[in-house]
Amino acid sequence: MKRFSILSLLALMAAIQAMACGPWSRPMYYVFSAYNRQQLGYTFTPRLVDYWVKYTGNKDAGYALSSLNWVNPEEFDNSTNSIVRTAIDRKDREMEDYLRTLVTYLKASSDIDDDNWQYPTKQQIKNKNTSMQYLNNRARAYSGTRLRPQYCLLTMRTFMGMGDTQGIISYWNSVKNSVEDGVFKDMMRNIYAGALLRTGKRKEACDIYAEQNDMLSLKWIMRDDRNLEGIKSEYARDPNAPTLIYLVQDFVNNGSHTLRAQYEYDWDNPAYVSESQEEIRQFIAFAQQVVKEGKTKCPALWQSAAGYLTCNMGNNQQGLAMLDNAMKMKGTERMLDNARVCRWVSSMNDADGSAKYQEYFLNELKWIQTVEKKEISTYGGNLNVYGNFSDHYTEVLQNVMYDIMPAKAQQWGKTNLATAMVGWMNHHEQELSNNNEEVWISNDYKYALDSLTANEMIQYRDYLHNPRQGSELERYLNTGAGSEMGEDYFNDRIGTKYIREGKFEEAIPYLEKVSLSYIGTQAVSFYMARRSYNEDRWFRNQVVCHSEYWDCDETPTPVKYNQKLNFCRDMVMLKNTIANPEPEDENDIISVPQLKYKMASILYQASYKGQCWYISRYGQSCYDEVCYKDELDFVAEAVRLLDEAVAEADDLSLKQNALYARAYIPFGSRFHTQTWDEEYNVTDHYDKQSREYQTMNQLATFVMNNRSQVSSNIQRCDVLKQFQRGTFKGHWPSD
Amino acid sequence: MLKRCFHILPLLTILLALTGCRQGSNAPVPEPRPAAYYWRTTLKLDSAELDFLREHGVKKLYTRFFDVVLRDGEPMPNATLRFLDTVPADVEIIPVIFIMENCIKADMDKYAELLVQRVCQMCETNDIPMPRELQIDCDWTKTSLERYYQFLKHVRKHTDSRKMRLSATIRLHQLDMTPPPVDYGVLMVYNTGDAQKLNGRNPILDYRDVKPYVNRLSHYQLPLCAAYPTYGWQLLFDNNGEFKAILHDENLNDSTLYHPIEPNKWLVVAHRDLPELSDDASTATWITPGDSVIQWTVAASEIHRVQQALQHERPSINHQVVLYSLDTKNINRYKKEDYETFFHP
Repeated sequence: MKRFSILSLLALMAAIQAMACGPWSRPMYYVFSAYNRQQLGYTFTPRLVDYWVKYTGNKDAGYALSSLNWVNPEEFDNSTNSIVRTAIDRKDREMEDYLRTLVTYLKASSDIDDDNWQYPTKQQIKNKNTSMQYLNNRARAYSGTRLRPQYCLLTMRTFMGMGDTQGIISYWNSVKNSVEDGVFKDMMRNIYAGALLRTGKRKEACDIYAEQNDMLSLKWIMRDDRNLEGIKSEYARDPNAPTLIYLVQDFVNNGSHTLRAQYEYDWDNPAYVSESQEEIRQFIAFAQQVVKEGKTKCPALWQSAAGYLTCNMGNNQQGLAMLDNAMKMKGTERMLDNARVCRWVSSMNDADGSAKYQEYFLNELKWIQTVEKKEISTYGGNLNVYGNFSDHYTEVLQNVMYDIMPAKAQQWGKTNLATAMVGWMNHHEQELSNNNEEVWISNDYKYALDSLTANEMIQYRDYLHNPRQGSELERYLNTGAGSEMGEDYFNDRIGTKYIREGKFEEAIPYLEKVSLSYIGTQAVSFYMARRSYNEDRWFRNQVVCHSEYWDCDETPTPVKYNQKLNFCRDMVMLKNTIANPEPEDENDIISVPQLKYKMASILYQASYKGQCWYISRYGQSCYDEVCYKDELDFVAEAVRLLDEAVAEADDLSLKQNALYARAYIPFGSRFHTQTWDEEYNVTDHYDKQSREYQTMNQLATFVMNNRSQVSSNIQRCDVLKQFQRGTFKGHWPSD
Repeated sequence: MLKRCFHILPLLTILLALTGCRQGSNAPVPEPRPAAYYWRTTLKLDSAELDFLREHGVKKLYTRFFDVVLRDGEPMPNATLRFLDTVPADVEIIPVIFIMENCIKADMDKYAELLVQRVCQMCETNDIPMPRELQIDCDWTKTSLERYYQFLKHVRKHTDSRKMRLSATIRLHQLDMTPPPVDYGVLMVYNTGDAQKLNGRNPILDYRDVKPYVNRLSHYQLPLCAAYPTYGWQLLFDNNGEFKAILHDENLNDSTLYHPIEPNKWLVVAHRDLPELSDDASTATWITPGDSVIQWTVAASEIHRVQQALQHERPSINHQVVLYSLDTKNINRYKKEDYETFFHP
């Protein structure tokens, strides 16, 4: 089910078409993780499930466990619940008795529901307490050893059912040393922590919650201690308080995000920024003091916290040295791993792309995959709140390989490396999710590939096809980066990029190699099969679905020819003919202004504003603009050609069409703009010098002077009529 | 003599009709007393709250017993009050049930009896004296009015048989509609503005937002009293001025997180993921440098100004004043003298 969800989500994301010019935004996840926040929710349930899987020999025992509360105690013997059934079928009387008591307890607990229409009567509450007392006695009467932890937990739960907080505390204290360690004892301890909290022993309760990774409870109960003062106070109480791991981690991650946000806002270091940074400075000093004092059993935690924040404060070399030291200090395995991850991520702040750095980076990249694998095999992956596959180390990798390092590699001038990092991560995530049973190109990788120029794409293809070339890091990343793409993919991309750059002739050899069957699998084929760039956009609207912007089902459609290829051939022919206007056949004279008009028309159709946008890109959004490196502005080019056609045309028909086209195309300054004040009151501005007004004015003047000859279609134009009446307020979409 | 009576009778009838109308639109609520709403999920009063009740002679506590929400398409009780304490014997508890409007759009009639029974059972189980009144709170609109009033009529059948009064909350926008079929209404004179607007007026109460409704009061055909706000709001906006969340009792004096920039406005200077009220991480609130927090409270003078304006149109409206809501942190917002003025304007 989980795999299905991930695949569905990714498929959905892949299907999103309105992403032509922008990356999707991924949050910077928390890096510092000495305390595994992802264990939350895994503390008890998987261990309980493990127990029952072993008992029943059935992998689906988790479901049977969660449905024990549906078992009717009076029909226990006939129950189909696999846990109950196993005990009965095996004639395991001891387990049968326990389960009978357990389901009776579950029934008694659920019988009284505060949020039901039948509010419990006093008698029902009394009965419930009587049942709980009976079950309490029964659980305590168990004298065996095999199921003692289970019965002890049940005893605690019945105390809880009676609201007997003191009973919970006393009972725990009487049995805590004699109950075998394991999940049942841990659950007892969690109940005990709740009882401590209710009797005002907050700190003791927090220590237990911290040890059990109950972060939600901790976050709420310790909400006033999440600062340096709170950390100092906990340290003074107990230098090894379990809560300190949580508080330190929380402080470091919040501090790190604070600094990032402050840098992003580029505040000029006003007093309030200094104040929050001062607390971070004081924390660094305090953490170092803790290490020096030697009272803590885990100096690695404090040292890595100080080191990571030092890096975040901008003192990278000093911070890296501190993190190096942290990795040699005492601490849990996770704390040492955390120091190493922090060191790796911080090293990227001033990574220089040297062979030495690449070697270090690769070594750590390989290592982090081992801890990632170990963690996923223990706790499983999960979908985080952003809907992505989530494990702490996977999140670190996502930030590093999708965001941080590709930007660095670009700074080093290594575009192939930058793209390969994204490709490698795309492949890595597929391995984590489905062992490559299904292949996809993530939005990150799509965006990275889409951002390349045609030449860069050719180089990247060559890089992928030569896995033995490049640095060791480049060779390593090459192992998975290109497995999702075939020859058709590259030829189509390279050809399209050449189109975008206005290099139509160069595009042709690549597009010639693209199979029609491949084009028929693309979402854009839906439009390609239904539209023609030979229609003037300003005279005809090619509607292909009723709800253009919302519900258009872009089912890939087989195509009879590659429209991109025809477009390139037409463009080359037009360019050549304009440059060399000698007609081959004197009967077939087409004037240069006519050719320019034609070229403007098809360029506009292939632009981000045209209806054949699929010629130059793979998605369209109303927010699109010229956004790719080296992209030729087709709209500007079309306007330039139309201007020339207007100026050069002798033919009235051509002139009217070109004037109309110019007035139609939203380009240049606008006649009508609006501004808003702080109270959202709007002010309208009108500019008669704007290009929009001027082109309308030219068209209107032309129509007025040639009324008898201008086509009736143009004369019927409502916007033109508005202009003529003096009620024109602009016809392009307003901001 | 008889002849004279015949002359006088029509006159009396007209007079009665007139005064009857007049009483309908200005009649005070039954047994008016200083009152407060109690709107938490556990009933437990601390010493400040008990002192407040005593000092100001608060004799009615309109207590939220539970909400009714749609669960799996069916109206169900939710967030039922847990009784951890009792209230002083001389303070009358008036159960209030908040009903989500979408429940009204479902068929609520069959739940009327269940609702009244549940309220009575809650009182019996928790040793609360049988209530003499029940209040229903719902933000009904023109589209749900008919069904809601139908539902109230069903509720009324069951409250009548138990000799309980029935009251309802009335929001300002509801003054334009026919009054509900209840004994009286409590006019909610709060939440009058748009909380999601950064540079807007005080969304809790601003006279300018109340003013357009004031002239409806003199003609509103239902006995009314008014409820005024003593609560505060901390509203979080992002750096583009978009509303993000309502914060819960954030300590805005924590200078490591918040920096005051205007009398009621703070700039967030550090990142923090605030504790969730549920275990659903997707509902977490994140504050980040550049966000701002507006703390809204209503000045005592503004409350008084509104009280005077309402009283001018409807002299009896402040015969009973209900404060929203009883809570130590709200109590501390105003001086004792202010409370005396609120209760006895």
